Amino acid sequence: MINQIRADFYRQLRTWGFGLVMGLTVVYCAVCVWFKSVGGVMVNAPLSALDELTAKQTTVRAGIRGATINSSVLLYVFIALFVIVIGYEFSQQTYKNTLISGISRLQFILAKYLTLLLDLFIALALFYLTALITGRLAGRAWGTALPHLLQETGLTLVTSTFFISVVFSLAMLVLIASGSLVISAVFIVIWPLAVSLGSILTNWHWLSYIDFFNVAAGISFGTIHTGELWRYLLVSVVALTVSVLAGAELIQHKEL
Amino acid sequence: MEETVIQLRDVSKHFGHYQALSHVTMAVKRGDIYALIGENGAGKTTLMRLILGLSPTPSGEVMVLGEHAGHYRHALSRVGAIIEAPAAFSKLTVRQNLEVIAIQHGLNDPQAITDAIQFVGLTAKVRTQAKHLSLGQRQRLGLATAILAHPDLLILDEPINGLDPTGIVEFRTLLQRLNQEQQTTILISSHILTELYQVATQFGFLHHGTLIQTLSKPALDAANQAGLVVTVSDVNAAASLLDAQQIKQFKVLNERDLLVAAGQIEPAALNRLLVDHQLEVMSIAMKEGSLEDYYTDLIAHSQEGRA
Repeated sequence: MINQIRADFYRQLRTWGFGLVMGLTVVYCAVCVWFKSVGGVMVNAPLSALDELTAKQTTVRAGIRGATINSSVLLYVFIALFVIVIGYEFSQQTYKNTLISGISRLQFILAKYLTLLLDLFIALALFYLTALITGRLAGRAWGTALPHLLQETGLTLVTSTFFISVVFSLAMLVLIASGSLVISAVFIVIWPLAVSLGSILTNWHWLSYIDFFNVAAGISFGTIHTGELWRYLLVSVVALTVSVLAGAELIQHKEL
Repeated sequence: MEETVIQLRDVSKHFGHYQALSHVTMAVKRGDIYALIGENGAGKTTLMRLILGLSPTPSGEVMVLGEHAGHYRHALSRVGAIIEAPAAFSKLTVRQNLEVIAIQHGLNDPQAITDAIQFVGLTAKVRTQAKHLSLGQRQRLGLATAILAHPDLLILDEPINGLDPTGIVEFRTLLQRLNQEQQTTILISSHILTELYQVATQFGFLHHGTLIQTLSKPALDAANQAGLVVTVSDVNAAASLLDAQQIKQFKVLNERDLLVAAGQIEPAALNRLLVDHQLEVMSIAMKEGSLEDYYTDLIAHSQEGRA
C-alpha cells in the first residue's frame, strides 16, 4: 500500500494538473484575503460573522477565518486531484496494472484515499499559509497571540482536510459503482449544493451533519459547538468507513 | 520437479444468459508456453481475466502459483500481464510509466528499467510520452511493464496485435528468450496461429467457452500429419480404389483432390496404383500439416458433433 501511495505521488509530481491545483489554491487564497472577499457554499451561513469579516478584516486571524469560509469553493479545484489520483486509473484502464501488482482491493482503495487525504492536506496547508503571509503582507496585525493563531489554524487545517476527504471517499465509491469519472465528478459538485438546497427547502438540521465541506467553518465560527462535534465526527467516520469497505467489496465483485 | 503454475478445475462463467466458459479444466506447468486458441468470443480473454482476478470466479476453482483466485496474497506479485490492450498513463513517458510500475512492485533498481526498455527495443523512445507511441510501440511498452519485475508467469492476451512483421519476429524471439533464459512460464493467446505454433509448447483449443482439446506440440505434430494431396480425373473412383486397397486414412477434399495421410503409401506406389486402374493423375504433392488446418478441422468436427 505504501508503494502504491509512493507511485501515485511520483505520477502526480510529473503532471501539470497537480502543480496547477496548488497554484490556483495559492492565488485564490491570496486574492480573497488581500481584497477581504468572503463567501462559500454552505448550509447555515453565519451571516453576522460574514458581515463582520467583510467589514472588519483587519487582522491576520480574521483573514484566516474568512479564508476558511472561502475554502468551500476549493472543492471544485480539488476535483482535479480526484481525477489525477483515481480517475485516470479508470479512464486509462491502468488499474489493471495496479491490481495485478499484488495489492489487495482494500489496500488499493485505502491507498487512493490516503493519497487524496495527503493531497488535500498539502493543498490546504498551502492555502492557510498563503492566508497568513498575505495578511502580513497587507500590513495587518496577528489579531491574537501567534502561538494561539497557529494552533487554531492547525486545527482548522486538520478538520478541513478530514471532512473534505469524506466527500472524496464517497466519490470514489460512486466512481467504482458507476465506472464513470463524469458521474463521480458531478457527485462532488452536486453534494454541497444538494445539501444546501435540501436544508433550505426542508429546514432539516441533520443535513448539516453531512455538509462535510463546512464543518471546519462551523467550528471556526462557533456555529458548531465543541460538545456536538462528536456527532459530526461520528457521521464522517461512519461515511468514510462505509465508502472504503463498500468500495473494496464492489471492486472485488466487479468485472474489471 | 514439474510444478503446476496455473490450475483450473471445472471453471464456468456466464454473463447474463451468455455462457462465456463452460466447465474448463486445464493445467499449465512451469516452463510451458501455453497457447490458447479460439475464435472471437471463445472465452480466451475471460479465462485470462479469471486467472488474474480481474473477474470474479462464480464456479469452479482457479489456482495460480499455489494460491486461490480471490484470495491471492503473493501470487499476483509474481505475475506479469497484458490484458486486452496494454494500459499506460498517456502523459507519462515510457521510462516514467515503468518507474510507476517499479515503485508499485517495490523495485529500487534503475538498471532493471533500462534493461526492460532495452529488452523490448524501446530505447529510442524512452523520453516519449505514451500517447505519442504507435500501436506496436505501446505493445512493446506493455510487454516491458509485464516483464519488469521478472515474473514467474506471463499472461499475454493478443500481444502481437499491431506489430509489424519485423516486430512479430522480434516478439517471438523475446518470448523464447524469456522462457529459456528466465524460465518464465507463458500463457498466450493470438489469432496469428503460425506465430503461436512457433513459440508454444502446449496448445489449448477453446470453442464457445469449452476447452475442446489440449495437447503438447509433439502430440500436435503427430496428430497433424502431413499427407499427399492427389489431383485425379475421377475422385470418387480413386476413393473407392483406395478403400478397396485398405488405405483407410484419406479424405476427399473436393471434386478433384483427395488427401492421403502420410505413411499410408509412397507417392510412386500411389501413382502406379491409380494409373494401373485407368485413373488419370494430374499431380501428387506433399502437404505439411499446419496449426490452422488442425484448428479448422477440430472446430469443424466439434460443430458436427454438436449437430
